[in-house]
Amino acid sequence: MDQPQSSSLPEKITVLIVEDDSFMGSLLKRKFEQESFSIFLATNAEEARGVLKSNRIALMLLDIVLPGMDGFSFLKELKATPEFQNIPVIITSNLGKPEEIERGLAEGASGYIIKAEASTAEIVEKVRKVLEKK
Amino acid sequence: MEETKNYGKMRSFWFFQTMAIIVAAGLAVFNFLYLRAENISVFFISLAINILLVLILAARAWGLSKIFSDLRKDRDSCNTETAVKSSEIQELEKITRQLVRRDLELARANQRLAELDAAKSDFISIAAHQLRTPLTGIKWSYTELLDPKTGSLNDEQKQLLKNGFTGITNIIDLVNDLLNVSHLEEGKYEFNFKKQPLLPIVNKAMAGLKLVADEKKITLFSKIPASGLPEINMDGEKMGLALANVLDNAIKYTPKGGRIDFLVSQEQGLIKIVVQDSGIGIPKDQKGRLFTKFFRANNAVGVQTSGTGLGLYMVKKIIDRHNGKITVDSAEGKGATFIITLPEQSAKKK
Repeated sequence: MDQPQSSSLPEKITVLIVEDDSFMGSLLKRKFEQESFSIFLATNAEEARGVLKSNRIALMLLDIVLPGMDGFSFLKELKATPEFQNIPVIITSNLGKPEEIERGLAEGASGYIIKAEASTAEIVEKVRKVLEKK
Repeated sequence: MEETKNYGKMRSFWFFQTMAIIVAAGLAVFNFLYLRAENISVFFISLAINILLVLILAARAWGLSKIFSDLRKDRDSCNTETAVKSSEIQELEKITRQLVRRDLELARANQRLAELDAAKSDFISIAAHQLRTPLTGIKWSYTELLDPKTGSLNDEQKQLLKNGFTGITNIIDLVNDLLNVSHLEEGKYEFNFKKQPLLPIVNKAMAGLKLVADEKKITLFSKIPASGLPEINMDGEKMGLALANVLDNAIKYTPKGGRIDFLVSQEQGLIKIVVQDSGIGIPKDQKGRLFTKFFRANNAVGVQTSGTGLGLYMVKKIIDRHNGKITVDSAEGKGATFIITLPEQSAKKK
């Protein structure tokens, strides 16, 4: 069976992107799909929960600043839920404050991305790295 | 007042003295008129005694009246003094009331200023934060458009997009700077001090510098002690930021083919970092304002119109927090030398 050129993994990986800014969300979705990922978009924790329950998600990109429940609290909730706790989560942030990074990693995040300092290609790369580590 | 009591006493005394004189005088007259016919010698003796009495009394009266008049002068001057003092006190009270009022007004004005300042800082913080997201999105869009995978572009389209991309990057830099500065001023810029080696931070700054220097064909000369550098108590991230900023400026304002020296040394309990460039330098009359907010020297604006003027302001704040010093030595057209000194001992605690 032919493997997709851009990925060393056999099938399309499904990634859930939790991002409240739809402009950014659509740009990320476009890039990931270009790189042969299958993408779900959620703009808040509640939507994300819904997607997690009805789909097999390989990895989650989680924004910290969200309407309603913030990213950290949602992460904590996920890590306490047996069916979701093994899904790797990469925290995305706009500001990249050290204390945010520390908190994210302490709550169980597998990685951290500062959106303003990374390109979409770099974000895809980071996701691949975390998945390969798993 | 003492004088007033004495004055009262003296007045009654004087009154009685006066009455005594009148009585004595009356007796003398009575003696003279009534006894004269009966016994001449007794009469003359009693007359003499009466006259003597009168003289004594008169002298006393005169003395008393003199004391009395002195006392009156005292009292009057006392009264005048009191009157003067009383009006002075009134004047002082008036001034004190005015001062108290002004003090209250100043306190109110200060509070208002503090509130405005906080609001301004908050506004900058919020605005910068809100701007970052869409700006990042726009930057990503430009990156995608410039990516050949998206589609082919003609040269003109490519150039236009590249220009747009540069513009966006500059705006993002400005927003970052504004955010950093407003955080710094608010005291929200959390410094995490930890004893750590300076060497990795210096090396990282150097690595960043090298890339751009190569592009601009600028010779980079660096000298770092082979024996390494001591560990100092510092916020590694902020220190890295400060160094990167100074080095960034050196590159920015040094033309192609120029030279930058990056020297790190240790002397007398101080760590000395020198960044010397062969660039456009700083005009003498503008050196003093170099580390102030939003300031950009005229010749710098000429070389590069975009720039926030916040970089060195932030660098100075960071160095200050580390109990260090930053100075500059420069002349227009003759390059600039920035000298940062850091004490090996602990930095200022907040």
